[in-house]
Amino acid sequence: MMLKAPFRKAALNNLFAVAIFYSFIVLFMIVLPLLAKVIPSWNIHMNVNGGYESFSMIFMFVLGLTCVKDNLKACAVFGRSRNTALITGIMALGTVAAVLAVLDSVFTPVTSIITGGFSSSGLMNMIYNMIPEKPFSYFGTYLVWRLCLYCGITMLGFLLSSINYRLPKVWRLVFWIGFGLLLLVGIPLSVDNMAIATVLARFLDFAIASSPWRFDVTMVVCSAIAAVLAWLIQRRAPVDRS
Amino acid sequence: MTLSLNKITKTFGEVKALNNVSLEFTEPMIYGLLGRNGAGKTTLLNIINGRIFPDSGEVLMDGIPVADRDELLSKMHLMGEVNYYDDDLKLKDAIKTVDGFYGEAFIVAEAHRYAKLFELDETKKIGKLSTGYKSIFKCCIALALDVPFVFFDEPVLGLDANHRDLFYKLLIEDYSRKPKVIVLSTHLIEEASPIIEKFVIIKQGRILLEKSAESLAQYASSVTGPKEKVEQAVSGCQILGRSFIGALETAYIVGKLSGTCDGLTVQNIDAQRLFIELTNTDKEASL
Repeated sequence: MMLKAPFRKAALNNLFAVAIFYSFIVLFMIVLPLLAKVIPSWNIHMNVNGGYESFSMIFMFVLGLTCVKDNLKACAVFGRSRNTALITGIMALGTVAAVLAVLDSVFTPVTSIITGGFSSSGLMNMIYNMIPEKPFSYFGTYLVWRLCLYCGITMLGFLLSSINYRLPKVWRLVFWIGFGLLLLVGIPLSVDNMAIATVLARFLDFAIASSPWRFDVTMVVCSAIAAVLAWLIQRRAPVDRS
Repeated sequence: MTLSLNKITKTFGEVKALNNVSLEFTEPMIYGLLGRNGAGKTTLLNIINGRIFPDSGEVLMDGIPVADRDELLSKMHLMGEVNYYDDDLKLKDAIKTVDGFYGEAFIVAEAHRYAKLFELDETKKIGKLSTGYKSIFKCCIALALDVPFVFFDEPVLGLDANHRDLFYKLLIEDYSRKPKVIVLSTHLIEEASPIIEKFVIIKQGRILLEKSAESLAQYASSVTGPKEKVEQAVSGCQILGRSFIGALETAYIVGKLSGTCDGLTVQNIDAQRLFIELTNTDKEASL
Protein backbone atom coordinates (compact mmCIF):
# COMPACT_ATOMS: atom_id res chain seq x y z
CA MET A 1 0.00 0.00 0.00
CA MET A 2 1.23 3.50 -0.82
CA LEU A 3 -0.22 5.51 2.04
CA LYS A 4 2.14 8.45 2.42
CA ALA A 5 0.91 10.87 -0.25
CA PRO A 6 -2.85 10.45 0.29
CA PHE A 7 -2.39 10.57 4.07
CA ARG A 8 -0.27 13.71 3.80
CA LYS A 9 -2.83 15.38 1.56
CA ALA A 10 -5.81 14.46 3.76
CA ALA A 11 -4.00 15.30 7.00
CA LEU A 12 -2.77 18.68 5.74
CA ASN A 13 -6.26 19.60 4.54
CA ASN A 14 -7.71 18.62 7.92
CA LEU A 15 -5.00 20.30 9.97
CA PHE A 16 -5.56 23.53 8.07
CA ALA A 17 -9.21 23.35 9.12
CA VAL A 18 -8.09 22.62 12.71
CA ALA A 19 -5.89 25.72 12.72
CA ILE A 20 -8.80 27.95 11.68
CA PHE A 21 -11.22 26.29 14.09
CA TYR A 22 -8.87 26.37 17.04
CA SER A 23 -7.86 29.99 16.55
CA PHE A 24 -11.51 30.89 16.79
CA ILE A 25 -12.17 28.68 19.82
CA VAL A 26 -9.14 29.94 21.73
CA LEU A 27 -10.24 33.47 20.99
CA PHE A 28 -13.69 32.61 22.27
CA MET A 29 -12.56 30.69 25.36
CA ILE A 30 -9.73 32.97 26.48
CA VAL A 31 -10.17 36.44 25.09
CA LEU A 32 -13.85 36.85 25.91
CA PRO A 33 -13.52 35.89 29.61
CA LEU A 34 -10.44 38.12 29.82
CA LEU A 35 -12.38 40.99 28.33
CA ALA A 36 -15.11 40.31 30.86
CA LYS A 37 -12.55 40.73 33.61
CA VAL A 38 -10.77 43.71 32.12
CA ILE A 39 -13.84 45.62 31.03
CA PRO A 40 -16.56 44.77 33.56
CA SER A 41 -18.82 47.43 32.12
CA TRP A 42 -19.30 45.24 29.01
CA ASN A 43 -21.20 42.91 31.28
CA ILE A 44 -20.08 39.65 29.62
CA HIS A 45 -21.15 36.44 31.34
CA MET A 46 -19.88 33.14 30.05
CA ASN A 47 -20.73 29.63 30.98
CA VAL A 48 -19.48 26.85 28.71
CA ASN A 49 -20.70 23.46 29.78
CA GLY A 50 -18.54 20.72 28.37
CA GLY A 51 -15.49 22.94 27.93
CA TYR A 52 -13.34 22.67 24.83
CA GLU A 53 -14.53 19.19 23.98
CA SER A 54 -18.09 20.32 23.34
CA PHE A 55 -16.77 22.41 20.43
CA SER A 56 -14.21 19.84 19.34
CA MET A 57 -16.84 17.11 19.21
CA ILE A 58 -18.96 19.10 16.77
CA PHE A 59 -15.88 19.95 14.72
CA MET A 60 -14.79 16.32 14.54
CA PHE A 61 -18.26 15.17 13.52
CA VAL A 62 -18.36 17.73 10.71
CA LEU A 63 -14.82 16.81 9.64
CA GLY A 64 -15.85 13.15 9.48
CA LEU A 65 -18.77 14.17 7.28
CA THR A 66 -16.66 16.18 4.86
CA CYS A 67 -13.48 14.20 4.33
CA VAL A 68 -14.86 11.09 2.55
CA LYS A 69 -15.50 12.55 -0.89
CA ASP A 70 -12.29 14.57 -1.28
CA ASN A 71 -10.06 11.73 -0.20
CA LEU A 72 -11.77 9.17 -2.39
CA LYS A 73 -11.57 11.49 -5.38
CA ALA A 74 -7.87 12.24 -4.88
CA CYS A 75 -7.01 8.57 -4.49
CA ALA A 76 -9.00 7.50 -7.55
CA VAL A 77 -7.45 10.19 -9.75
CA PHE A 78 -3.86 9.66 -8.64
CA GLY A 79 -3.69 5.88 -8.77
CA ARG A 80 -4.61 4.69 -5.31
CA SER A 81 -7.09 2.00 -4.33
CA ARG A 82 -10.29 2.41 -2.33
CA ASN A 83 -8.63 0.58 0.57
CA THR A 84 -5.86 3.18 0.62
CA ALA A 85 -8.44 5.97 0.45
CA LEU A 86 -10.30 4.54 3.42
CA ILE A 87 -7.23 3.83 5.53
CA THR A 88 -5.60 7.20 4.88
CA GLY A 89 -8.90 8.98 5.48
CA ILE A 90 -9.25 7.30 8.86
CA MET A 91 -5.56 7.90 9.65
CA ALA A 92 -5.94 11.59 8.87
CA LEU A 93 -9.04 11.84 11.04
CA GLY A 94 -7.23 9.98 13.83
CA THR A 95 -4.36 12.47 13.57
CA VAL A 96 -6.74 15.39 13.89
CA ALA A 97 -8.46 13.69 16.84
CA ALA A 98 -5.08 13.28 18.54
CA VAL A 99 -4.09 16.88 17.83
CA LEU A 100 -7.38 18.17 19.19
CA ALA A 101 -7.20 15.90 22.25
CA VAL A 102 -3.74 17.28 23.06
CA LEU A 103 -4.73 20.88 22.38
CA ASP A 104 -7.86 20.55 24.49
CA SER A 105 -5.93 18.90 27.30
CA VAL A 106 -3.35 21.67 27.26
CA PHE A 107 -5.70 24.59 26.77
CA THR A 108 -8.22 23.56 29.43
CA PRO A 109 -5.86 24.23 32.37
CA VAL A 110 -4.23 27.14 30.52
CA THR A 111 -7.62 28.76 30.01
CA SER A 112 -8.48 28.18 33.63
CA ILE A 113 -5.24 29.83 34.79
CA ILE A 114 -5.44 32.78 32.39
CA THR A 115 -9.06 33.57 32.93
CA GLY A 116 -8.94 33.03 36.68
CA GLY A 117 -12.54 33.10 37.83
CA PHE A 118 -13.86 31.59 34.59
CA SER A 119 -14.31 27.88 34.79
CA SER A 120 -15.27 25.41 32.13
CA SER A 121 -16.36 22.01 33.31
CA GLY A 122 -15.07 19.33 30.99
CA LEU A 123 -17.40 16.57 29.85
CA MET A 124 -15.44 13.87 31.63
CA ASN A 125 -15.70 15.77 34.89
CA MET A 126 -19.40 16.22 34.37
CA ILE A 127 -20.00 12.51 33.66
CA TYR A 128 -17.67 10.86 36.16
CA ASN A 129 -17.32 13.64 38.74
CA MET A 130 -13.61 12.91 38.93
CA ILE A 131 -11.38 14.67 41.40
CA PRO A 132 -7.88 15.26 40.06
CA GLU A 133 -5.93 13.80 43.00
CA LYS A 134 -2.99 12.71 40.87
CA PRO A 135 -2.59 15.45 38.24
CA PHE A 136 -0.52 13.41 35.76
CA SER A 137 -2.73 10.37 35.89
CA TYR A 138 -5.80 12.61 35.60
CA PHE A 139 -4.27 14.44 32.63
CA GLY A 140 -3.43 11.14 30.92
CA THR A 141 -6.84 9.63 31.55
CA TYR A 142 -8.56 12.75 30.26
CA LEU A 143 -6.31 12.90 27.18
CA VAL A 144 -7.06 9.30 26.22
CA TRP A 145 -10.75 9.79 27.00
CA ARG A 146 -10.90 12.83 24.72
CA LEU A 147 -9.02 11.02 21.95
CA CYS A 148 -11.45 8.08 22.10
CA LEU A 149 -14.44 10.41 22.21
CA TYR A 150 -13.27 12.33 19.12
CA CYS A 151 -12.44 9.12 17.26
CA GLY A 152 -15.92 7.75 17.97
CA ILE A 153 -17.67 10.96 16.96
CA THR A 154 -15.64 11.49 13.80
CA MET A 155 -16.13 7.87 12.72
CA LEU A 156 -19.88 8.33 13.08
CA GLY A 157 -19.63 11.31 10.70
CA PHE A 158 -17.36 9.28 8.40
CA LEU A 159 -19.86 6.42 8.26
CA LEU A 160 -22.85 8.70 7.65
CA SER A 161 -20.91 10.49 4.93
CA SER A 162 -19.96 7.17 3.32
CA ILE A 163 -23.62 6.14 3.23
CA ASN A 164 -24.55 9.55 1.82
CA TYR A 165 -21.85 9.20 -0.84
CA ARG A 166 -23.25 5.96 -2.21
CA LEU A 167 -26.90 7.02 -2.27
CA PRO A 168 -28.63 8.57 -5.28
CA LYS A 169 -29.60 12.23 -4.79
CA VAL A 170 -33.23 11.63 -3.83
CA TRP A 171 -32.29 8.89 -1.39
CA ARG A 172 -29.76 11.20 0.25
CA LEU A 173 -32.59 13.55 1.14
CA VAL A 174 -34.65 10.66 2.49
CA PHE A 175 -31.65 9.40 4.46
CA TRP A 176 -30.90 12.71 6.17
CA ILE A 177 -34.56 13.44 6.92
CA GLY A 178 -34.83 9.91 8.33
CA PHE A 179 -31.68 10.39 10.39
CA GLY A 180 -33.01 13.69 11.75
CA LEU A 181 -36.37 12.11 12.55
CA LEU A 182 -34.67 9.20 14.29
CA LEU A 183 -32.73 11.60 16.52
CA LEU A 184 -35.51 14.06 17.22
CA VAL A 185 -38.58 11.83 17.24
CA GLY A 186 -37.64 8.16 17.13
CA ILE A 187 -35.30 8.06 20.11
CA PRO A 188 -37.43 10.29 22.43
CA LEU A 189 -40.52 8.22 21.57
CA SER A 190 -38.81 4.90 22.10
CA VAL A 191 -37.39 6.11 25.42
CA ASP A 192 -41.01 6.64 26.51
CA ASN A 193 -41.31 2.87 26.36
CA MET A 194 -40.15 1.59 29.73
CA ALA A 195 -38.57 -1.60 28.41
CA ILE A 196 -36.50 0.21 25.76
CA ALA A 197 -35.56 2.96 28.20
CA THR A 198 -34.34 0.39 30.72
CA VAL A 199 -32.21 -1.45 28.15
CA LEU A 200 -30.79 1.82 26.85
CA ALA A 201 -30.05 3.14 30.33
CA ARG A 202 -28.36 -0.12 31.33
CA PHE A 203 -26.24 -0.08 28.17
CA LEU A 204 -25.25 3.57 28.60
CA ASP A 205 -24.48 3.01 32.25
CA PHE A 206 -22.35 -0.03 31.48
CA ALA A 207 -20.58 1.18 28.36
CA ILE A 208 -20.22 4.88 28.98
CA ALA A 209 -21.05 6.16 32.43
CA SER A 210 -19.46 3.50 34.63
CA SER A 211 -15.80 4.39 34.02
CA PRO A 212 -13.73 6.46 31.60
CA TRP A 213 -11.74 3.42 30.54
CA ARG A 214 -14.87 1.47 29.70
CA PHE A 215 -16.01 4.49 27.68
CA ASP A 216 -12.68 4.39 25.81
CA VAL A 217 -13.18 0.73 24.94
CA THR A 218 -16.76 1.40 23.80
CA MET A 219 -15.61 4.24 21.55
CA VAL A 220 -12.80 2.16 20.05
CA VAL A 221 -15.19 -0.72 19.35
CA CYS A 222 -17.78 1.65 17.83
CA SER A 223 -15.06 3.29 15.70
CA ALA A 224 -13.88 -0.11 14.48
CA ILE A 225 -17.45 -1.12 13.57
CA ALA A 226 -17.96 2.20 11.74
CA ALA A 227 -14.67 1.71 9.88
CA VAL A 228 -15.63 -1.80 8.74
CA LEU A 229 -19.07 -0.61 7.60
CA ALA A 230 -17.48 2.35 5.80
CA TRP A 231 -15.07 -0.04 4.09
CA LEU A 232 -17.97 -2.22 2.90
CA ILE A 233 -19.67 0.89 1.55
CA GLN A 234 -16.63 2.49 -0.05
CA ARG A 235 -14.72 -0.48 -1.44
CA ARG A 236 -16.55 -0.42 -4.78
CA ALA A 237 -17.70 3.19 -4.72
CA PRO A 238 -17.51 5.01 -8.04
CA VAL A 239 -15.90 8.44 -8.08
CA ASP A 240 -18.62 11.05 -7.73
CA ARG A 241 -18.72 13.32 -10.79
CA SER A 242 -20.04 16.31 -8.87
CA MET B 1 4.03 -4.86 -19.42
CA THR B 2 0.55 -5.92 -20.53
CA LEU B 3 -2.75 -4.45 -19.51
CA SER B 4 -5.65 -6.71 -20.34
CA LEU B 5 -9.36 -6.36 -19.96
CA ASN B 6 -11.05 -9.64 -19.40
CA LYS B 7 -14.76 -9.86 -20.31
CA ILE B 8 -15.75 -6.51 -18.81
CA THR B 9 -19.48 -5.87 -18.49
CA LYS B 10 -21.00 -2.75 -17.00
CA THR B 11 -24.65 -1.78 -16.79
CA PHE B 12 -26.14 1.56 -15.75
CA GLY B 13 -29.78 0.93 -14.93
CA GLU B 14 -31.30 -0.51 -18.10
CA VAL B 15 -28.37 0.49 -20.30
CA LYS B 16 -25.57 -1.97 -20.96
CA ALA B 17 -22.63 0.40 -21.33
CA LEU B 18 -20.06 -2.38 -21.87
CA ASN B 19 -20.86 -5.87 -22.99
CA ASN B 20 -18.25 -8.55 -22.45
CA VAL B 21 -15.34 -6.39 -23.59
CA SER B 22 -11.92 -8.00 -23.83
CA LEU B 23 -8.95 -5.97 -24.96
CA GLU B 24 -5.19 -5.92 -24.54
CA PHE B 25 -2.67 -3.10 -24.46
CA THR B 26 0.79 -4.56 -24.85
CA GLU B 27 3.48 -2.79 -26.83
CA PRO B 28 4.22 0.88 -26.31
CA MET B 29 2.00 2.41 -28.96
CA ILE B 30 -0.52 5.19 -29.49
CA TYR B 31 -3.97 3.64 -29.52
CA GLY B 32 -7.04 5.45 -30.76
CA LEU B 33 -10.20 4.52 -28.91
CA LEU B 34 -13.03 5.61 -31.15
CA GLY B 35 -16.73 5.39 -30.68
CA ARG B 36 -19.86 7.45 -30.97
CA ASN B 37 -21.40 9.33 -28.06
CA GLY B 38 -22.54 6.80 -25.48
CA ALA B 39 -20.59 3.94 -27.08
CA GLY B 40 -18.88 3.17 -23.76
CA LYS B 41 -15.43 4.77 -24.22
CA THR B 42 -15.40 6.80 -21.01
CA THR B 43 -16.90 3.93 -19.04
CA LEU B 44 -14.15 1.66 -20.34
CA LEU B 45 -11.40 4.12 -19.43
CA ASN B 46 -12.91 4.74 -16.00
CA ILE B 47 -13.03 1.01 -15.33
CA ILE B 48 -9.42 0.49 -16.44
CA ASN B 49 -8.29 3.24 -14.08
CA GLY B 50 -10.35 2.08 -11.11
CA ARG B 51 -12.66 5.08 -11.03
CA ILE B 52 -15.67 2.83 -11.41
CA PHE B 53 -15.96 -0.94 -11.12
CA PRO B 54 -17.36 -3.45 -13.62
CA ASP B 55 -20.36 -5.66 -12.90
CA SER B 56 -18.28 -8.58 -14.11
CA GLY B 57 -14.86 -9.16 -15.59
CA GLU B 58 -11.54 -7.76 -14.47
CA VAL B 59 -8.63 -5.56 -15.42
CA LEU B 60 -5.27 -7.30 -15.22
CA MET B 61 -1.73 -5.98 -15.38
CA ASP B 62 0.66 -8.77 -16.27
CA GLY B 63 -2.01 -11.19 -15.11
CA ILE B 64 -2.54 -9.53 -11.71
CA PRO B 65 -5.90 -7.85 -10.95
CA VAL B 66 -5.41 -4.09 -10.82
CA ALA B 67 -8.26 -3.17 -8.45
CA ASP B 68 -7.11 -2.66 -4.84
CA ARG B 69 -3.42 -2.64 -5.79
CA ASP B 70 -1.76 0.75 -5.43
CA GLU B 71 1.48 -0.39 -7.03
CA LEU B 72 -0.41 -1.27 -10.24
CA LEU B 73 -2.91 1.59 -10.20
CA SER B 74 -0.05 4.07 -9.90
CA LYS B 75 1.43 2.72 -13.14
CA MET B 76 -1.37 4.35 -15.11
CA HIS B 77 -3.11 7.67 -15.35
CA LEU B 78 -6.33 8.85 -16.90
CA MET B 79 -6.68 12.39 -18.10
CA GLY B 80 -10.45 12.47 -17.96
CA GLU B 81 -13.13 14.84 -19.15
CA VAL B 82 -14.31 15.60 -15.62
CA ASN B 83 -12.18 17.84 -13.44
CA TYR B 84 -11.41 16.05 -10.17
CA TYR B 85 -8.88 18.61 -8.95
CA ASP B 86 -9.87 20.92 -6.09
CA ASP B 87 -11.11 24.15 -7.60
CA ASP B 88 -9.40 26.12 -4.82
CA LEU B 89 -6.00 24.67 -5.61
CA LYS B 90 -3.48 26.80 -7.49
CA LEU B 91 -1.90 25.13 -10.50
CA LYS B 92 1.57 25.12 -8.91
CA ASP B 93 0.13 23.46 -5.79
CA ALA B 94 -1.74 20.92 -7.90
CA ILE B 95 1.57 20.04 -9.58
CA LYS B 96 3.09 19.52 -6.11
CA THR B 97 0.18 17.26 -5.17
CA VAL B 98 0.65 15.12 -8.28
CA ASP B 99 4.37 14.98 -7.51
CA GLY B 100 3.56 13.68 -4.03
CA PHE B 101 1.39 10.89 -5.41
CA TYR B 102 3.48 9.76 -8.38
CA GLY B 103 6.96 10.58 -7.02
CA GLU B 104 9.73 9.84 -9.50
CA ALA B 105 7.25 8.90 -12.20
CA PHE B 106 6.18 12.53 -12.41
CA ILE B 107 8.66 14.92 -13.98
CA VAL B 108 7.91 18.26 -12.33
CA ALA B 109 10.19 20.28 -14.62
CA GLU B 110 8.31 18.96 -17.65
CA ALA B 111 4.95 19.83 -16.13
CA HIS B 112 6.18 23.41 -15.65
CA ARG B 113 7.60 23.48 -19.18
CA TYR B 114 4.33 22.29 -20.71
CA ALA B 115 2.39 24.79 -18.62
CA LYS B 116 4.65 27.54 -19.90
CA LEU B 117 4.29 26.41 -23.52
CA PHE B 118 0.51 26.52 -23.19
CA GLU B 119 0.80 29.89 -21.42
CA LEU B 120 -0.87 28.64 -18.27
CA ASP B 121 -0.64 30.97 -15.30
CA GLU B 122 0.43 28.65 -12.48
CA THR B 123 -0.60 31.13 -9.80
CA LYS B 124 -4.23 30.84 -10.91
CA LYS B 125 -6.69 28.61 -9.12
CA ILE B 126 -8.01 25.63 -11.09
CA GLY B 127 -11.59 26.76 -10.55
CA LYS B 128 -10.82 30.05 -12.30
CA LEU B 129 -9.64 28.36 -15.51
CA SER B 130 -11.83 28.11 -18.59
CA THR B 131 -12.94 24.65 -19.77
CA GLY B 132 -10.18 24.67 -22.39
CA TYR B 133 -7.45 25.62 -19.95
CA LYS B 134 -8.66 23.00 -17.45
CA SER B 135 -8.21 20.41 -20.22
CA ILE B 136 -4.80 21.87 -21.03
CA PHE B 137 -3.71 21.65 -17.40
CA LYS B 138 -4.81 18.02 -17.16
CA CYS B 139 -2.96 17.30 -20.43
CA CYS B 140 0.22 18.89 -19.03
CA ILE B 141 0.01 16.63 -15.98
CA ALA B 142 -0.59 13.51 -18.08
CA LEU B 143 2.22 14.38 -20.50
CA ALA B 144 4.69 14.92 -17.64
CA LEU B 145 4.00 11.45 -16.23
CA ASP B 146 6.43 8.67 -16.97
CA VAL B 147 4.10 5.75 -16.30
CA PRO B 148 3.61 2.76 -18.64
CA PHE B 149 -0.06 3.51 -19.40
CA VAL B 150 -1.54 6.96 -20.04
CA PHE B 151 -5.14 7.41 -21.11
CA PHE B 152 -6.56 10.60 -22.60
CA ASP B 153 -10.32 10.99 -22.68
CA GLU B 154 -11.24 13.80 -25.06
CA PRO B 155 -7.98 15.65 -24.33
CA VAL B 156 -8.58 18.45 -26.80
CA LEU B 157 -12.07 19.31 -25.57
CA GLY B 158 -12.45 23.09 -25.68
CA LEU B 159 -8.95 23.67 -27.11
CA ASP B 160 -8.45 26.05 -30.02
CA ALA B 161 -6.70 24.85 -33.20
CA ASN B 162 -3.29 26.15 -32.09
CA HIS B 163 -3.45 24.47 -28.72
CA ARG B 164 -4.68 21.23 -30.30
CA ASP B 165 -1.73 21.31 -32.69
CA LEU B 166 0.67 21.96 -29.80
CA PHE B 167 -0.84 19.12 -27.80
CA TYR B 168 -0.36 16.61 -30.63
CA LYS B 169 3.24 17.80 -31.12
CA LEU B 170 4.02 17.45 -27.42
CA LEU B 171 2.33 14.07 -27.31
CA ILE B 172 4.57 12.81 -30.11
CA GLU B 173 7.64 14.38 -28.49
CA ASP B 174 6.79 12.78 -25.14
CA TYR B 175 6.06 9.42 -26.74
CA SER B 176 9.30 9.37 -28.71
CA ARG B 177 11.32 10.16 -25.57
CA LYS B 178 9.38 7.86 -23.22
CA PRO B 179 7.64 5.13 -25.22
CA LYS B 180 4.54 3.90 -23.43
CA VAL B 181 0.98 2.83 -24.08
CA ILE B 182 -1.01 5.96 -24.87
CA VAL B 183 -4.73 5.58 -25.40
CA LEU B 184 -6.44 8.50 -27.05
CA SER B 185 -10.20 8.62 -26.92
CA THR B 186 -11.47 11.33 -29.22
CA HIS B 187 -14.18 12.37 -31.62
CA LEU B 188 -11.74 14.34 -33.76
CA ILE B 189 -10.71 11.32 -35.80
CA GLU B 190 -9.38 13.17 -38.82
CA GLU B 191 -7.14 15.28 -36.62
CA ALA B 192 -5.85 12.48 -34.42
CA SER B 193 -5.56 9.66 -36.96
CA PRO B 194 -2.08 10.65 -38.27
CA ILE B 195 -0.57 9.87 -34.86
CA ILE B 196 -2.65 6.80 -34.04
CA GLU B 197 -0.86 3.50 -34.55
CA LYS B 198 -3.70 1.20 -33.60
CA PHE B 199 -7.41 1.82 -33.85
CA VAL B 200 -9.99 0.35 -31.50
CA ILE B 201 -13.57 1.08 -32.51
CA ILE B 202 -16.26 0.54 -29.94
CA LYS B 203 -19.97 0.41 -30.72
CA GLN B 204 -22.79 0.00 -28.24
CA GLY B 205 -20.50 -1.39 -25.58
CA ARG B 206 -18.74 -3.92 -27.81
CA ILE B 207 -15.37 -3.83 -29.55
CA LEU B 208 -16.24 -3.60 -33.21
CA LEU B 209 -12.79 -3.47 -34.72
CA GLU B 210 -9.18 -3.54 -33.55
CA LYS B 211 -6.62 -2.86 -36.26
CA SER B 212 -3.25 -1.24 -36.78
CA ALA B 213 -3.15 1.94 -38.87
CA GLU B 214 -1.56 0.05 -41.79
CA SER B 215 -4.08 -2.75 -41.87
CA LEU B 216 -6.93 -0.27 -41.39
CA ALA B 217 -5.83 1.52 -44.56
CA GLN B 218 -6.19 -1.79 -46.42
CA TYR B 219 -9.34 -2.83 -44.57
CA ALA B 220 -11.87 -1.00 -46.69
CA SER B 221 -12.15 0.94 -49.92
CA SER B 222 -14.60 3.13 -51.72
CA VAL B 223 -15.91 2.57 -55.24
CA THR B 224 -17.33 5.59 -57.00
CA GLY B 225 -19.04 5.79 -60.36
CA PRO B 226 -22.39 5.51 -62.13
CA LYS B 227 -24.90 3.72 -59.95
CA GLU B 228 -25.45 0.66 -62.17
CA LYS B 229 -21.73 0.12 -62.70
CA VAL B 230 -20.96 0.44 -59.00
CA GLU B 231 -23.74 -1.99 -58.07
CA GLN B 232 -22.47 -4.47 -60.59
CA ALA B 233 -18.86 -4.12 -59.42
CA VAL B 234 -19.57 -4.48 -55.72
CA SER B 235 -22.02 -7.33 -55.95
CA GLY B 236 -20.66 -10.10 -53.77
CA CYS B 237 -18.62 -7.68 -51.65
CA GLN B 238 -19.29 -6.91 -48.01
CA ILE B 239 -20.78 -3.43 -48.22
CA LEU B 240 -20.35 -1.06 -45.28
CA GLY B 241 -22.43 1.77 -46.69
CA ARG B 242 -23.44 3.79 -49.69
CA SER B 243 -23.74 7.46 -50.53
CA PHE B 244 -25.25 9.16 -53.57
CA ILE B 245 -24.62 12.44 -55.34
CA GLY B 246 -26.94 12.76 -58.32
CA ALA B 247 -26.37 9.79 -60.59
CA LEU B 248 -23.07 8.96 -58.91
CA GLU B 249 -22.84 6.36 -56.20
CA THR B 250 -20.06 5.66 -53.74
CA ALA B 251 -20.08 2.25 -52.14
CA TYR B 252 -17.83 1.51 -49.17
CA ILE B 253 -16.71 -2.08 -49.14
CA VAL B 254 -14.56 -4.28 -46.94
CA GLY B 255 -11.28 -5.11 -48.70
CA LYS B 256 -10.37 -4.33 -52.28
CA LEU B 257 -12.51 -4.58 -55.37
CA SER B 258 -11.77 -7.66 -57.37
CA GLY B 259 -12.40 -7.81 -61.06
CA THR B 260 -12.68 -5.00 -63.58
CA CYS B 261 -13.27 -1.45 -62.55
CA ASP B 262 -13.40 0.49 -65.82
CA GLY B 263 -15.02 3.86 -65.33
CA LEU B 264 -14.96 3.48 -61.57
CA THR B 265 -12.74 5.25 -59.02
CA VAL B 266 -11.44 2.95 -56.33
CA GLN B 267 -9.73 4.45 -53.28
CA ASN B 268 -8.70 3.46 -49.80
CA ILE B 269 -10.99 5.09 -47.28
CA ASP B 270 -9.71 7.10 -44.37
CA ALA B 271 -10.25 6.27 -40.72
CA GLN B 272 -13.03 8.82 -40.27
CA ARG B 273 -15.07 7.54 -43.23
CA LEU B 274 -14.57 3.97 -42.11
CA PHE B 275 -15.64 4.90 -38.61
CA ILE B 276 -18.78 6.61 -39.91
CA GLU B 277 -19.72 3.68 -42.10
CA LEU B 278 -19.06 1.15 -39.35
CA THR B 279 -20.95 2.98 -36.66
CA ASN B 280 -23.85 4.45 -38.64
CA THR B 281 -27.27 3.41 -37.47
CA ASP B 282 -29.66 1.96 -40.07
CA LYS B 283 -31.57 5.24 -40.09
CA GLU B 284 -28.46 7.31 -40.76
CA ALA B 285 -27.23 4.89 -43.39
CA SER B 286 -30.47 5.17 -45.33
CA LEU B 287 -30.12 8.96 -45.67
